[in-house]
Amino acid sequence: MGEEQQSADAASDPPIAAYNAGAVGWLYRGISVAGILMAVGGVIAEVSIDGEMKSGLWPIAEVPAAIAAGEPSAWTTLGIWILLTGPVLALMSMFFTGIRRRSWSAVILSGIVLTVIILAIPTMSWIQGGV
Amino acid sequence: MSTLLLVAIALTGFFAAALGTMVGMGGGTFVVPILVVALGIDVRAAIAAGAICVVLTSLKGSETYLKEGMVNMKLAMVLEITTIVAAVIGAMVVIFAPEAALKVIFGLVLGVTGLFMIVDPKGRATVRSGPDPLGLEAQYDRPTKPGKRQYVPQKLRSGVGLNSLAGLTAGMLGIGGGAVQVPIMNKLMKVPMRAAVATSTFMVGMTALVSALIYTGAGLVDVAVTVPAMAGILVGSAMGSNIGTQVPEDLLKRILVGVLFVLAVMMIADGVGIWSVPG
Repeated sequence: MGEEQQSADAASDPPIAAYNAGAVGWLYRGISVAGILMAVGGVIAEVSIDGEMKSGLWPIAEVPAAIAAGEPSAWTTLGIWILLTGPVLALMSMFFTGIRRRSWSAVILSGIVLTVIILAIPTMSWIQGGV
Repeated sequence: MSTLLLVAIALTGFFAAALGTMVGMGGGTFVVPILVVALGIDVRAAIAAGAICVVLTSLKGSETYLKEGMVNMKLAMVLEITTIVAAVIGAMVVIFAPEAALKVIFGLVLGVTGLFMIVDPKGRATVRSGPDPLGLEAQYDRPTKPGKRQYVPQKLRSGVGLNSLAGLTAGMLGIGGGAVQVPIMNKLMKVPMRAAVATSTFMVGMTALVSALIYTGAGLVDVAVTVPAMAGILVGSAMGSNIGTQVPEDLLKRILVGVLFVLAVMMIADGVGIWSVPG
């Protein structure tokens, strides 16, 4: 795509092209299927093996080791985290598609929302330490 | 947690989603209060479960809308800036507010939502052209007629301001906020109903995500409540959309308003200590 065409795209800034909506739709489908299968599969395995289930989530850093150790509840935690990555990946897709298409409004808007979400992570850690 | 309670939570998710989806509200508005007033689940655990369920229903609901180009993604991003900040504040309130206060606030929000459904002022005609400094104009293929529907969102400042209310409610109560967002977009900003529902469905996932992250940090997420509710909601919303087309809309609305008021009264009564879950 030539520079003139890219500038024309940026000027008209059609929502679907500039924000890569179709790709985000497919991304959402994959993530929701994978996340729910892991989460529900983990619960079924845990109840089948232990007869009951734990209530808490595994700390994210310990999930790979717990999965390697055969802990079914770690799959549940992984499934929930996969679901939670969906909106973040959508925003990243919008951000990078915006850069590629030189749609600066898409870059700025998705960048601001992504920043607020990223700032919620240290807030989460701060609360984890304080509560 | 016993297997029986897990099944009861899954059934709650199922009925809440089936009921909510029949009238286009999703399951979040009902699942949290039913978990609290019917099963006696801790209100904070129910709110955290509700937020994660909203992320799931947003992902599932948005995929078709996104592929069909119904979501006005630029408008969603503009509105999401204040909505998401308000959701962070709302989620912090959940951690530090007394449980009784959360139940009363939830009850009041349910009551107001029910009142909105009774009043239901008609949306104004869509504006097809005009001043659009941020380039929020969008169009989508009409599902029932040939051609495209074009619109320019109006009253952006008021819309952005009022959407922060949706964010605060969502963050504080673990619901999507669509019940607040859709009327704002449709009636105030003159966004066509289909585009308003699609855009709101997309937005609520991001709003609920920040709340979910904060609830996770505070250790409020109880997987034994969250995952069965998620599974029930997934099945319930699929069935609700099928049943919803076969039941008269007026009857559905009356049932829904009745359920909202009953839940509102029960939540407030539970909050002020007049009534609590037996056993």
